[in-house]
Amino acid sequence: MGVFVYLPLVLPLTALPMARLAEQHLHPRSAARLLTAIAVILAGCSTLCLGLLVVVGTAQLPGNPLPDGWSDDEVREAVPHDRIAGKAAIVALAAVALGCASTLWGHYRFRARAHRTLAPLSTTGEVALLPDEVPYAYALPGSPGRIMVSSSMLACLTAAEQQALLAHERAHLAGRHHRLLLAAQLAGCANPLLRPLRTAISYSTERWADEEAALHTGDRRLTARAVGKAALVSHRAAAPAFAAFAAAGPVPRRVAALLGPVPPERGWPPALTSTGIAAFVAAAGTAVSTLSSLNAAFALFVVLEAATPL
Amino acid sequence: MLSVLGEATEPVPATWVQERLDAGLSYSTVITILTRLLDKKAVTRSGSGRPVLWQPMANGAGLTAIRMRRLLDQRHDRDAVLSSFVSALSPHDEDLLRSLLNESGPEFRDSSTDASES
Repeated sequence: MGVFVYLPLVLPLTALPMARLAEQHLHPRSAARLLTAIAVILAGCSTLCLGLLVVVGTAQLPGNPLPDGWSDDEVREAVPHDRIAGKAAIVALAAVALGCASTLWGHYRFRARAHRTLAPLSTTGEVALLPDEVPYAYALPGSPGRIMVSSSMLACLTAAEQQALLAHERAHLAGRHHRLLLAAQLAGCANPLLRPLRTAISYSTERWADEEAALHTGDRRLTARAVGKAALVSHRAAAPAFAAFAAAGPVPRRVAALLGPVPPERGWPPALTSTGIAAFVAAAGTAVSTLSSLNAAFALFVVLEAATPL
Repeated sequence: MLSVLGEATEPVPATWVQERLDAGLSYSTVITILTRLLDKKAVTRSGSGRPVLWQPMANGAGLTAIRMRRLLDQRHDRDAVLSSFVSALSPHDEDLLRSLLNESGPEFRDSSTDASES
């Protein structure tokens, strides 16, 4: 098993160039799905290897319930630096489990509370219009999902722009974007190196919903105006929380993309572009990570089976 | 407290609220909570003499909106679950956005002035 057990812990680094480049050259739907799939596979492999290290680490602790043979030299030689790595892995796996559990709990608790809050409304339709002077619009996942939009947000948009906003939120619900975002969040808990993917996936789902809204309204400029006006109105309502950044934030990038041409539908970027290379690196990293973790799991299984007294 | 108060059809004294709450709170506790709600602008106080009359600031949808606002203000939980239609802008973003929209057509300039005036 050797070094293979450590590889999947660092291979998420290979996905980072893809996270940066996917949004520029892929259709947002492909980008969101591809990045989520990569994040989930890399997180799964990383957690599996952490689990293997935990088995080796636990077997060395005094008073552990595992078979005595599992702490033999043959098993320990299979893992380089087994003493430190084993103990560190126990702590890390506990942190991963705790992080994932608290993420899931927080997600479902917030959703349940939001649905409970909306329950007394007289309308049970998809759109929940809330009289509020703070402009906001959110898609609340659930069965059925709801769209929460404040009266002041609608007031600043024309009827056609309101349709674009609602189409955007409906696209979030219909595409079940919250599942991709939750998966990205859990992957970030499993391996902190995957956290930058969450930002990229979140941006891709927004762009995806923008494209759906543009298709629905049949007018890209109208959709761009709806996004831009909503952002400017929200900005006026809320004091700026951070200082100026040189790079353009997500909203101007979305508006600029909507003002540009329809993104191509092709699934895989051309090979000899920077995105093509980044996609290749990410795919290779994911494949190596999967093979390494399976190799390590199989090797440990064989070693442990040999060490288990029958 | 707000839902009890929401059942009232007219401004009511604090004792009315206290009788209808199952929690068995003392009169002074009810007054304290009502005063806190007053600070949060969730209720209004009226009547110059005694007893002081209370009523919820909004009813029905308004009350739901106040509760939802409170839930949405928990930014960490909110951002983990909900995708906002638009995210925050930096000052640089704002300028960039304005120039993008101005390029996109004259409709924007007119409607945005309307929105800022309203």
